[in-house]
Amino acid sequence: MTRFPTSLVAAEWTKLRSVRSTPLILAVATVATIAIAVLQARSTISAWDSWTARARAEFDPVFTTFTGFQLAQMAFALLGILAVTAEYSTGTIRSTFAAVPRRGRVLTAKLLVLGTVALVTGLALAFTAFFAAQSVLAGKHLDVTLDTPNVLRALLGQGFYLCTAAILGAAIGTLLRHTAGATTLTTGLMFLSTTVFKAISPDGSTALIHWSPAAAAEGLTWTTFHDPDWPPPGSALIVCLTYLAVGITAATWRLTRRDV
Amino acid sequence: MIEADELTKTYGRHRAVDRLTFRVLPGRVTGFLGPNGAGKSTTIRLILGLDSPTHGRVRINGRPYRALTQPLRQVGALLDAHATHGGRRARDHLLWLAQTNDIPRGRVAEVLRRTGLTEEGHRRVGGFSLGMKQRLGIAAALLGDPQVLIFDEPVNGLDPDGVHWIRGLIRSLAAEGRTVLISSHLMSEMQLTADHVLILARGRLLSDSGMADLVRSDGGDVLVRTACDTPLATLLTARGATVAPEPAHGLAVTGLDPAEIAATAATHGIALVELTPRPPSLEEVFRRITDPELRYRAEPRPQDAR
Repeated sequence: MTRFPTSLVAAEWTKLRSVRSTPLILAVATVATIAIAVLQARSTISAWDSWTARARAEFDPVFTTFTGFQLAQMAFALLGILAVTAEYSTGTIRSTFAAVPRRGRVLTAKLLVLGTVALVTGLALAFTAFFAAQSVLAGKHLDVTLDTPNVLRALLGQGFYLCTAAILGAAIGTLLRHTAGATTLTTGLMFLSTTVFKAISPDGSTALIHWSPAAAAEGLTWTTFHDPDWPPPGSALIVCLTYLAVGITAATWRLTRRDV
Repeated sequence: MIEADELTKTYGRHRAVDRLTFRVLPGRVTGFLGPNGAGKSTTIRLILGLDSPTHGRVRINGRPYRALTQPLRQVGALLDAHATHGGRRARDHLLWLAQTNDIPRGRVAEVLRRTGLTEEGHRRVGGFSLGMKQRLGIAAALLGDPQVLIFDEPVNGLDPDGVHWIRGLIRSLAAEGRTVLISSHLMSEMQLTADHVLILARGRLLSDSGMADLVRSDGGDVLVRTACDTPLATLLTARGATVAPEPAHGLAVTGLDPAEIAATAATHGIALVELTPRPPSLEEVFRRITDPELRYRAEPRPQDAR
């Protein structure tokens, strides 16, 4: 892979921006994250006075207002899945590989474009939702700032996790080549693995649970309240990077060794 | 030039393509004929490096497809007109293809113009008719101004205007000295466009010959008309010909060439009203070659003839 051609990145960018699903998915993610952040902040300040001491202790001004990001994670995973499976379902993949027989390069360019779009949008969403929610929380002086411990890490972590979701979706899409199958597997892995890992873990053991992507996402994005089921931020990062490495390696292997 | 040597592709126990060896030469239109499932599309996928051969190899301009740098500048292919994302505008579809091979952006407008799609470039492909999608597929194939062109079933779904247009385009591409391979199961179309024909059935190459040779060498008959057919029919049958009455009037004669028929008539003072050699249509030739039963009956004929 000497001298990576930027032309492939340009081509993948054209592909991604020229289908309607891309702006649609990003719009859904934007509305979901920002609207939910504002709504949750509002309901918090209106109900705050009636909250128990325990509920107040578990309140995390960033994490609690970021529920919408779960929807965004699914949307970003779908963005990644569709970037690959739509090529298979429409047959575009044959044009792609006829134009670029070095399939590994296509995947690299696709993941670079997808990852960049997901990271930039993800970070923009995290910061926008943060400022929107905090401006509402300020009404009860519950707001925090970027200087508050863990806040910046949580926002960067949220952006990074959205990027992970998109790339993981694309990797699973490459492995399964089928939108429905890839969506099912990705959703299962991202949202149900915590439950499954918990069920098969011995009582009190969190080692396996920490390997659930959802737990890793929580480990990356909490600021004041930390559940023992969530891995510490450093471990959460390693969990994400491991999923990415395994996913990308498997996808590359599948892509370069199988007929179209 | 496309060179296939012992090209073989096996799926499980099924041999889709079986030891194909052929050359597709520049400056002429080569037709790739075969019934559905003959292995035409598999062969094209092997040529384009989309599938890997189980055995043998195929090269384009001396190199395997996967070793080509910027392959769209050397080979243009129309595979399946439906194989585009319906949500993408025609222009964007061509743009990303151009970008992969560093083809200048200006080519997008040029190929849209050459395929008559200038007005449709901004439209999403999903709203295209099959004929327009076919034109877009051809525009994509022409994008890199390639020396080799491969069209899989190019006239499928085209209206008469479109068929006429593509026929002209294919002829002109070959006239420019390019290597043109078109696959089809439409014999009549092939007879009008191809100079050379590769006939494929059940993965095997059954024939590799010039269109003229193919049509001349195998079958056909001579239409003979006289004032009264019966006496001549008797004479020709006596000379070993097979004579069948034509529906309206006249005789269809096989087994004797026109000169022999004319001589027989002349010797017996029979005036000929018409004497027309009728070459077989490619369709007949094709059916005789590909249908094992017909082939069995057809093959002894050359020995029988004289």
